[in-house]
Amino acid sequence: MSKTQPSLRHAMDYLHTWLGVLFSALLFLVFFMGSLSVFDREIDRWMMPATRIAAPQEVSFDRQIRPHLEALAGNATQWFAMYPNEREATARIGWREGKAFVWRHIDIDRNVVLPEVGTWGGSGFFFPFHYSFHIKWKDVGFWLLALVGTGMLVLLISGVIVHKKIFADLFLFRRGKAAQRMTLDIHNICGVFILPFHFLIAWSGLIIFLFTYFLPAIPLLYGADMPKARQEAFNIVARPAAKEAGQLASVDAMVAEAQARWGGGHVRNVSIANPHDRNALVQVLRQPDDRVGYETMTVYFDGDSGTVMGQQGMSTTLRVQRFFAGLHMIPFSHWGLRWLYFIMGLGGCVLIASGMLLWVEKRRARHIREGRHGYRVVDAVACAGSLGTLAATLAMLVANRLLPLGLTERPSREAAVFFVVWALMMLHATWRGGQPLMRKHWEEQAWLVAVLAATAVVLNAVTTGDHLLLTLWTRQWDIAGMDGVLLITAAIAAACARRLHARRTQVPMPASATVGATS
Amino acid sequence: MSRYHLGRGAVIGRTLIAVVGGYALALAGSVGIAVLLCRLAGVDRADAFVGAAMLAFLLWALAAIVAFAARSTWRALGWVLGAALLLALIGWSGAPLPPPAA
Repeated sequence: MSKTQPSLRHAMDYLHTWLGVLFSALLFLVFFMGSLSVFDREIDRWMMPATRIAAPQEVSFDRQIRPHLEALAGNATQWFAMYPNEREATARIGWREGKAFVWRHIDIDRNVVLPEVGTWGGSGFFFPFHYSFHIKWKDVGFWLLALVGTGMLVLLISGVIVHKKIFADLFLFRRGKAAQRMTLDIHNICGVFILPFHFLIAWSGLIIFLFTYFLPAIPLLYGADMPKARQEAFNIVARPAAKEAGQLASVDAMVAEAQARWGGGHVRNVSIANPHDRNALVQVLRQPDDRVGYETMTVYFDGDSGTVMGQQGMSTTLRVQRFFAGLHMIPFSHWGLRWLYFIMGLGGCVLIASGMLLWVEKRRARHIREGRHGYRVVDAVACAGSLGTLAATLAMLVANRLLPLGLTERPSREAAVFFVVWALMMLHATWRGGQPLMRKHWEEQAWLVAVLAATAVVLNAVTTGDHLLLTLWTRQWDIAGMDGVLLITAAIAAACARRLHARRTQVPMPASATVGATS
Repeated sequence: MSRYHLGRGAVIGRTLIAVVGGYALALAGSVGIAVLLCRLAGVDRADAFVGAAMLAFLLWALAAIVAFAARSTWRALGWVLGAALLLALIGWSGAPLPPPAA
């Protein structure tokens, strides 16, 4: 064994290096969008000023939600109502219109449907970006995610094998030494300290979609019973419409019954299939805000009579799967942990970006000497993939505050701003990266990030009146937190840009000094 | 660290083993381990499948590690495909699984 160990380390080093450089841009995207998704509802509040209201005391489906659904979607075959919660004071109603699903917000206390928010917001743009890259075609996004998620596990395992002195190096940080040494230390510190989180977050992310990824196993295991698989696993109740008119009974009574069965708790949402049919089916889901496991304990009701038809029950392994889902998606209410997830997620971004920089630092001098351009490509992707992604996100927030509300297709125009700016950042990084030792593109994109972040804060204050002092004073923590994070982002980006500028102008970078003995 | 180098064929081969072979191993694992859990430990089939599938992701990652850790491409292929075939055989011998008792 001792004889094979060095070669195993070399092989793992090779795998870690090349898998890392190949997947880094996608991985960064998943980690960055995932970190944003930790605060998706708070981003929603910032991007949808009309929904910044006080939470209602109590909610009645029959009196405050149903009339709006009847008026807006009387003929729809599927109704959906998301109850107000700690992070979202409006109720969201939704219904199926053809293939699309339409959402509107309700101000419960004023009993009005709010005008269209005109944005996909954090929950509709950044969150789906995190798990599907917005590629719906043939589930390519999901499979890309499977590769990236598994790739992260492989990177972590191979990284640990490469890193022989994992514990000793934990306390090693060579500040101010050669850039490559410091980048390596940052990479190792982020990698090792947050290793358990990163491993669990990648694995649990895959576990959430296991029914998609291992779909082919189901017919093999269930044989002719395959249609029963989902029903058997989750005790799901389903039935088709009777095609006869029916009267929907009091949903509030069903909610009360469900809450009695749960022994208390908040309603997450109510979902009704065929609301005006004799076979109407009502589902009441519990908000899993008091536990880690993402268990909604759904109670099924016959819509016509209001009698209970069944309740979702789960056995051990399924509850473990739901535990992992909850561990990943943080349905529980705990602000300290939520911030910790955000910070550790960003730590993952630092880990990935520093890994890319290491790759470049190790090869730059050699590639220049040998007249190769590989380092430039990776350097441009690293710059546009990290700072460029940040700039595109911030540009979208700025566009969110600038585009007029009545604009047609407003949500997709906002998204277009993201993708256009992102592409421009890539072009910019490729173009500016042309001068080998200058690194002007990093500096310029850092400045852009700083300017955009500060602009977003100013625009929020100007267009909504909710400036930071006011939101702090009135304890609107979601808006204050958003503005605060934006200001911190601006400050860090400006400091980085200044440092990069100082380095570039004061220290003439000796090409040979960056070639470490370890390359 | 001294230069470690793989030829183009080896890189393509080992990558395919890691990605395609890895998924095949994971899929075979989700079936094979489910059969073991259900037939030997008496776990209900839905539970057996979910439990097996959760572990199967780790098999995929492990396959990628083995694909590059093995001393030759053929050895890598042997390890990953061998394990996949073994699990598939176990799965084939015990599937389809019976419905839960109650």
